[in-house]
Amino acid sequence: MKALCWEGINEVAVEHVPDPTIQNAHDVIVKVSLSTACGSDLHLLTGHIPFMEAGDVIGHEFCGEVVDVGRAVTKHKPGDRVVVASFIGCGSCWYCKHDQWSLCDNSNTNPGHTDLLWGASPGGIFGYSHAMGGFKGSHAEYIRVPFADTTAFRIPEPVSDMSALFASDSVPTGWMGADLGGVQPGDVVAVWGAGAVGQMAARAAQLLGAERVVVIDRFDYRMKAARDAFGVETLDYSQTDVGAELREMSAGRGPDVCIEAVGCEAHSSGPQYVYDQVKSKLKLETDRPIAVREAIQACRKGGSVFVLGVFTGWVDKFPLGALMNKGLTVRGAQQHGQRYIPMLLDRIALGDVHTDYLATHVLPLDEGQRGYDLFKKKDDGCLRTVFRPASS
Amino acid sequence: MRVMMTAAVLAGVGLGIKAAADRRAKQRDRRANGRWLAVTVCKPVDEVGAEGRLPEPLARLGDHVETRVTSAPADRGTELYARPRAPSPSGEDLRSLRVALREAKSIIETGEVVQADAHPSAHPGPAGKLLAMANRKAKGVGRL
Repeated sequence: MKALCWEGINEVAVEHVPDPTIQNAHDVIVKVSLSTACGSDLHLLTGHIPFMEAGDVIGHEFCGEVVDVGRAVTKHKPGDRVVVASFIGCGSCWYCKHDQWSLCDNSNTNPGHTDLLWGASPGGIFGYSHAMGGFKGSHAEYIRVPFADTTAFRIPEPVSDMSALFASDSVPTGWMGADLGGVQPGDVVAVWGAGAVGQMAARAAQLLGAERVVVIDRFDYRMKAARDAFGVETLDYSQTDVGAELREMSAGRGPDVCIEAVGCEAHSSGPQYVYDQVKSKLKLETDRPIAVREAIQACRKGGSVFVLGVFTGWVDKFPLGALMNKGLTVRGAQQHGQRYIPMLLDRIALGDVHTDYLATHVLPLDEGQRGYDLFKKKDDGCLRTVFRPASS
Repeated sequence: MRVMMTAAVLAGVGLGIKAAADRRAKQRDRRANGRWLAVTVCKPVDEVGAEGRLPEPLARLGDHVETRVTSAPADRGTELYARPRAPSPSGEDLRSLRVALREAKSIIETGEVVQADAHPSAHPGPAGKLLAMANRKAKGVGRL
């Protein structure tokens, strides 16, 4: 089959690789109909996550049709249209049973790497390095889905593949930021990053009752998309003092909930960016936490900051004093998709959450390099590149 | 070519860090000899070590290890402890024990041990080959 593979820094290519097979009793094989590039893939492309081999298939946000099932699978049969959570959850360990699916104890085949890095290993994820299980990714014609009964979800009939696709990762990730960030009716919520996850976090905050939702970015087309889709307010950090704007918008309090949806390769204007660039180039820090710092600084006393963006290691100039003295709650997580996907598919079917507009560029796998270049450089109004493996 | 060289250098740096971490892990293993290794299994005690029977990955180690099973607090299930009866100076037996404990937990909780995808990359390159070696050891190292 054809698959889009990581070949080296900023280089992907279509290869012919062996078809996946059922290896465990709880596996299914899915024929991938749609698979989208995710902002977190860019960390793989830039070499930020070094546990990659040339030839690894990438992609983790996808949907498709079940074509084969393992003998222990009870919820799926060939022909089912499914959307698959990017994190693989066994459904049986303490973390899965407590709806913390990305912390699954049993789905990472290489737990030692992250045990040593982070003190414990999270669950496995499709197409996201050997530190996260080494599973093949979804930018391929077929993919093996382990623990399928608890990782794949049937798509309700009225929901198209294109709408359901984003329920794989960006919608539940955004929802989690608002939900676990503790958004309450009447809150002012600020979201850093107007990518798909940031926009979905903003929509989730609205649906959870936030009075005012502000999305911060520097790309006009992304902020316009957020305004047009959901009527949120936006701030261009390259043109304004974000902290001052947020204080004014919240009558001096600061946002009740701040959601960071940017991650470890954040940009900014000003000397802080130069500082972080130098430190990261010299390997004196692994990640650039610019949006996290700003969120902690801006948040109201006693407020909540949720880190949705992917971070890999260590950061510098973390504002621990602000966190402690303002009595903040700071949380973070990779997505606990299984906790939210059924509810979100229902909301997509009802029209509460629109997702189709995120797919600005739909391409065959053969245009994988172009798709990632568009996405990375934010060219041509690209919000998300979506691949159709079957049309390659 | 420049891109591949950068990738190789980055991978080399990453693996160098990993090798240093592995060395520290071995030192820890030497210090940990005699200490219990443990996993918490999300099942009742009678499903973990009923009548002294343990799942195959641990049972395979036979008399080389001693085990103990106790109820975990609150809803956390069962604590499964194991340690070598005669620890080796190299710490190699601890690595085998970690693999056995992790696999035992997975089998008791899910009925299987999830496998990495078959058919690894056909052209991993030198850095990828080093990474593959590290992957093969990854279940035997870590905080456990």
